[in-house]
Amino acid sequence: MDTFKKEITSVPSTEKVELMRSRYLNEPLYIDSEYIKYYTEAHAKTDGRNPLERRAECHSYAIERLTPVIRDGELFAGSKTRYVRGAIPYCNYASRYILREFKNEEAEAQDAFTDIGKGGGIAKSKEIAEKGDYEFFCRKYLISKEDKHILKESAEYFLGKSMQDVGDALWKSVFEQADYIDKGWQAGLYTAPHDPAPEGRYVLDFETALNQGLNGIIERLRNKIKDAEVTDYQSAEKIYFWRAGIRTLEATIKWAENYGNKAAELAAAEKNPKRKKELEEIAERCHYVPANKPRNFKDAMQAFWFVYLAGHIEGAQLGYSPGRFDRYMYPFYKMDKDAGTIKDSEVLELLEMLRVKMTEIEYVASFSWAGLGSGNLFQNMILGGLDEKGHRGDNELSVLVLQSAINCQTTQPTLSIWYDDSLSEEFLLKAADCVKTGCGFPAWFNLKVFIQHELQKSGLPVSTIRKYAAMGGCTEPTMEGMSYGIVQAGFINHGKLFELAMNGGKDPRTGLVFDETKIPETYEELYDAYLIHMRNSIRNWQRYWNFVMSAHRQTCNLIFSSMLVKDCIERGLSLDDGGAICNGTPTTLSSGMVNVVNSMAVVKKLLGADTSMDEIREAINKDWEGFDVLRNKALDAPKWGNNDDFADDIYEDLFDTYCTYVSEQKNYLGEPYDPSMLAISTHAPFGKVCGATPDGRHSGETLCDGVTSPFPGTDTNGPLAVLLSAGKIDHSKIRGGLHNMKFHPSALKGIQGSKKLLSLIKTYFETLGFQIQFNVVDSEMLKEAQMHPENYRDLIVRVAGFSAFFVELGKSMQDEIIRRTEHYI
Amino acid sequence: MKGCPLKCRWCSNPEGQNLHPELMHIKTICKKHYKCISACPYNAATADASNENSFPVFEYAKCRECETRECIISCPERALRFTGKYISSSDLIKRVKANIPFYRNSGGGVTFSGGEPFLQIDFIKEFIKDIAPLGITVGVETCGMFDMKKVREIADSLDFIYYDLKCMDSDIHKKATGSPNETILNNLKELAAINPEIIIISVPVVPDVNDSDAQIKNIAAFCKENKIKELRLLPYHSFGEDKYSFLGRKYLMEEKLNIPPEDLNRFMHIVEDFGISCKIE
Ligand code: SF4
Ligand code: SF4
Repeated sequence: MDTFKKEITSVPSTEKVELMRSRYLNEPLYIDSEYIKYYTEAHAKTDGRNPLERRAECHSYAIERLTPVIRDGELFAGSKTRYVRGAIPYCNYASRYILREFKNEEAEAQDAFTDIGKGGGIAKSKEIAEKGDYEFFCRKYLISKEDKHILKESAEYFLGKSMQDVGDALWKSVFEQADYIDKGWQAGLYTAPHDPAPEGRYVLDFETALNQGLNGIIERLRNKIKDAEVTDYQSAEKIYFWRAGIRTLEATIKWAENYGNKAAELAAAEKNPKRKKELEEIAERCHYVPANKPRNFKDAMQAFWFVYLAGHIEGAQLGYSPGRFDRYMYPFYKMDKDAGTIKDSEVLELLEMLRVKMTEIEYVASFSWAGLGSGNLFQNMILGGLDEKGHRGDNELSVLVLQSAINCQTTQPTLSIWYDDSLSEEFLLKAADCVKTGCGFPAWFNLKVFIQHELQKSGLPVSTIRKYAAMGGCTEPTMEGMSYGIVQAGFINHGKLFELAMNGGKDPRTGLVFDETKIPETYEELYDAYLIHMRNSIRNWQRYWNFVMSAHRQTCNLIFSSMLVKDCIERGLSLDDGGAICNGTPTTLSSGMVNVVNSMAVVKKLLGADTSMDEIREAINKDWEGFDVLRNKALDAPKWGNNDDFADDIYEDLFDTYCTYVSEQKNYLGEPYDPSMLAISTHAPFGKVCGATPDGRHSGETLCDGVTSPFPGTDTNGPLAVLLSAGKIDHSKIRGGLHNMKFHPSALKGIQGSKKLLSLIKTYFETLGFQIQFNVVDSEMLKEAQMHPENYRDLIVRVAGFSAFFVELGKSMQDEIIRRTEHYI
Repeated sequence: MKGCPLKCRWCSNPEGQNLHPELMHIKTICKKHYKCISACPYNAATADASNENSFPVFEYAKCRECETRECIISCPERALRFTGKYISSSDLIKRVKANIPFYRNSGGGVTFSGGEPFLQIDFIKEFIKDIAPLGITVGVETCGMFDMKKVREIADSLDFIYYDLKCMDSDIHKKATGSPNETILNNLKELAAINPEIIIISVPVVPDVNDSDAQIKNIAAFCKENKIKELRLLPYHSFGEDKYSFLGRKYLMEEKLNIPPEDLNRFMHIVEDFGISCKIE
C-alpha cells in the first residue's frame, strides 16, 4: 500500500524563518533567573511602599535591566529570556516547589501520577545535563550553576512573601473546609495546589496600545493625576495606581530602547551589508515603538511584539493570548499595501517569525502542573468573526496568518476561527487547508453561541461583543482588552466524584472520607449522591480560589496589564480591584463528565432482575476481573455520542445542574462564577487516580477528553450521531467547550474534502454546538512516532485545547491520541 | 444491505454476501482465552485439539444466532461480533431524518449499497416513499443482478445508480462471479432506457477478468450504445482479505496482483475515446 503523502506541504517561506525554526527545534529548555534576580533585589529595597507602586517598581526595575538578545535572522526584536527556549521561575508567585526541587524531594503526591514527555528538546536537556555544566531542574529544564545560586536565594527570600504563602497563611487558618481541599488534592479530586499560580486567559487592548502608543497612554495617566481630587482613601489610592502604571509603561519603553541600542551595537559590528541594514532598521524601530503609534506594518509588528511580551513577562502567564490579531493589525497592513510599500511575501515572513517567537516562550511550574499543561502556554490567536457592524471580519491578513501557520509549523500560537456563515470562502478554504496539515488547528468556535453567552453574562451591546470577542487560552472566549484575567486553573475531577457517590463518600484509592452519603442501591440514590458530591466539591473549590485571588491582589496584582485593559485607567482601579469592564470571567473547570454520564446510563440500564448495584460495585472494585460478561453488557449499554436520548438526557441534566451549581456562587470580584468545561491534559492524571467505572473503563485508564467528545470506542453510530448528541446541550451556558474529532487524511482529500469539512462545521454550529477541532493523522503514523520519536520530532497533534509536539507528550497522552476514534466523513 | 446473488472472487466486503447476520471472529484482537468455547450452548466453537496455540474454530453452520449472544458477551477482548443487524425501515427513516441538517449543507443524501440492495426492494420502496418528498437524494449501488419487474417501479425516483459492470464475456463472468451476465446486461439496457443520466457505471478492474484493452473497449462500447455518460474504474485491492478468515471462509483470489497505473490510465483513455467521462477511484 502506498504510504500517505501530505496533500498540503509545510515549508517555511524563507531561509531566515527556516533558520529560526530549526534553531528552536534543536534547542534544549533552560531556566533563566535574570528577571527574578532583579525583581527580588527591588522587592527587598521597597519594603513599606504602597503595594501597587511596589509591585510596579519590582517589575519595572527588572524589565529595564534584562539583557537584550537579538538572534541571527530575526527581523523584529524581543525575547522573554536570554535563551531560545527559556522560562522564568516566578518566585514571587510560588517558591516552595523550587526549593523542594533543589532538595530533590519527592514532589507532591500528585506528581506520582503525572507523566510528562521525554522526546525532542526535553531529551536534549538530559544529554547536556549529563555533561555537568548544567543541572537538571523540574525534570525537563537545564539551569546553570550561577542561575541556580540566584534562584535559590530568590526562592528563599520569597518564603512567606509569595502569593502562594500569603494565600496559604490565610485560607489554611480561616477556611472551614480547608481539610476538604487538602483531601481533594490527595485523592486527585482536584488538580494540584496553586504552585505555579498560573494566571492569564485574557487579551490586552492592543488596539489602544498601537494607536495611542505607550506615550499616549502615559499622557492620559498624567492628566488623570493632574485632575484627581482626593476625597477619601479610595480616591487617593487611585493616584498610586496611576503612578504605578506610568512606571511600568516607561520601563517598557526603556526596555525596548535597550533592544534598540543592542541592535545598533550589532549593526556596527556586522560585516554582511544586508544584515547590517536590517539591524539598523531594528535599532531605529525599537527607539520609536512601542512609545509611538506605528508608522507602518513593520513598526506595528515590533510594537505588538513588545507590548505582548511585556505583559507576558509581568506574570506567570498561561493562556495569555494575542486575541484578534487580524483585526487590530489590519489597518497597518492595509496602509502599506495601498501605498505599495510592502509585499505579501514580506508580511508572510514576519508572521512566520512570530510563530517561532511565540513558541520559544517556555513556562516552568511544579512538575505536576507541567504534566497537565503538557508544557503548552495556550496562546490563542483568533481569526475571522465579525466586525462591530456585523460584517465578516476576515481579510487578506487573516489568510496570510493561516498561510504562515501552514508554512511554519510550530505549536504556538494556536489558531482559532470565530465562525460565522458570512466568512469568505477563500478564508474558510485556507483554514481547511491548515487543518489538513494535521497540526490540529485552527479550532472552530461558533460566534453565535458566544454572543448568546455574553449577552446573558455581561449584557454588553451586541456590537461590542462582535468587535471584541476573542479567545483567552485554549478554548475559553473572553472580551479582548476589557476583561479580568483569571488567577486560577483548577479542575474538578468528575470521575472521582462518581467514585465518591458510588462508595458513600469514601475514596476507594486513598480511603479518605469526604462528605458521607448513603451507599446507593438504586439509580436514583446514586444520582442524588453524585449531585451532593458535585455541589460540595464545587462550592469548596470556588471558595478556596477566592482566597487565592485575594492573595494575588496583595502580591501579584498586574499593573502593566491593567494599563491595557478597559476601564482600569478611567476607574483608577487595577484588575484585581475590579477595574475591568468584564469581571465575571473566572471559570470553574472540570473534566470527565462523559464517563460519569456513560456510567450512569449503564447503571440505569442494567440494574434490575439480573444485576444489582452491589454486583456492579464489586465488578469495578475488582477492575472487572472475573466480570467479563457484565463488562460486555456494560459496554453494550447506551453511551453518550450516539444520538441516543437514553444517555444524552442524562448528560443534559448533569450539565445543567453543573452550570447551576457553579454560578450560584460569586467570585472574588463579586460576579457569579462562570461554568466551563475543558480538559487540557487533566483527563490523563485524573483517570490514573480513578478506579474502574461502570461504563466499562478500566482502573487508571484516561478519562474522556473534551466536553462533548465521546469516550474512545463508544461512538458506534458514526460521526454525525456524535455531533447530534453534542449539539443537544446548551452551550451558551458555559464559557468554553471542546469537541475533538479525528480524521484520516484520506477523508478530507482535495477541495471536495475541504467542502465536506466546512459543511460539517456549519451544520454542527447550526445546532448551536460551540467548538470543534480536528486531528488529521493516521494512527499508524502515530504508533510509528511512539516507537521512533527521533524521526518524528516535528509531528504536531491536537491534544485538547491545544496542539503539542507528539513526541514530547507523555506515553498515556500518546496512547489516548492514537485511540481516539478515527472518523470518516 | 446484506445479501448478494453474486460471489465475486475479489469481493472486499464478504460480510455483505449472505442475507442474514453472521458471526465474525476478529482474529487480530483474539487472545485465545477460549471463553467463547464454553459459552456457546450449541457447541459452535471448539478448540483445535491438534494445535494448542490455535484460534478457536467456529463451525458457522452450527451457530443458531442465540438471542443472548453467549459467545460474544463472554469474550473479554470483544473479538467477536455479529456483522449485520435487522432494522425496520421506519427506524432507518428516523435515523436518516436526524441527519438531514447535515445533508442540507453538504448536498449529501442516502446511498443504499451492500451486498445487493435491490434484493430488498420492498424496504427501499417504503423508504423512498417517506424520504423522497423531503428532497433528500437517494441512490443505489447495484451489481445488476435483480428482478427488473420490481425495480422498474422505483427507477424513476432514484437520483443516481452506481451500476457494476464486470465483464462483457459471459463465460468469464460466470467463472469470476458465479453467474453469467445476461440478466445484468439486460437490466442495464432497461434502466438506461428509462433514464441514462442517473447511471454511473462502476468497473472493478480485476486481473484476468477484464484487465485488457479489448475487454475495456467492449464495456465502453456497450455503455455508449446505451447512452451512458459516466464510468469509474475501481482497481482491485486485497484489503478485504482478513475478513474472509474472520468469517471462516477462504479468500479466493489466488495471488495478490496489482493493476499497474499505466494500464489504468490507458483504460481511462479508451473509455474517454467513446465520449464517456471516466475517473479512477
Ligand atoms: S474469541 Fe474471545 S473468548 Fe474466544 S478465544 Fe478469542 S479472545 Fe477468547
Ligand atoms: S451466537 Fe450463540 S449460537 Fe452462535 S456461536 Fe455464539 S453462542 Fe453459539
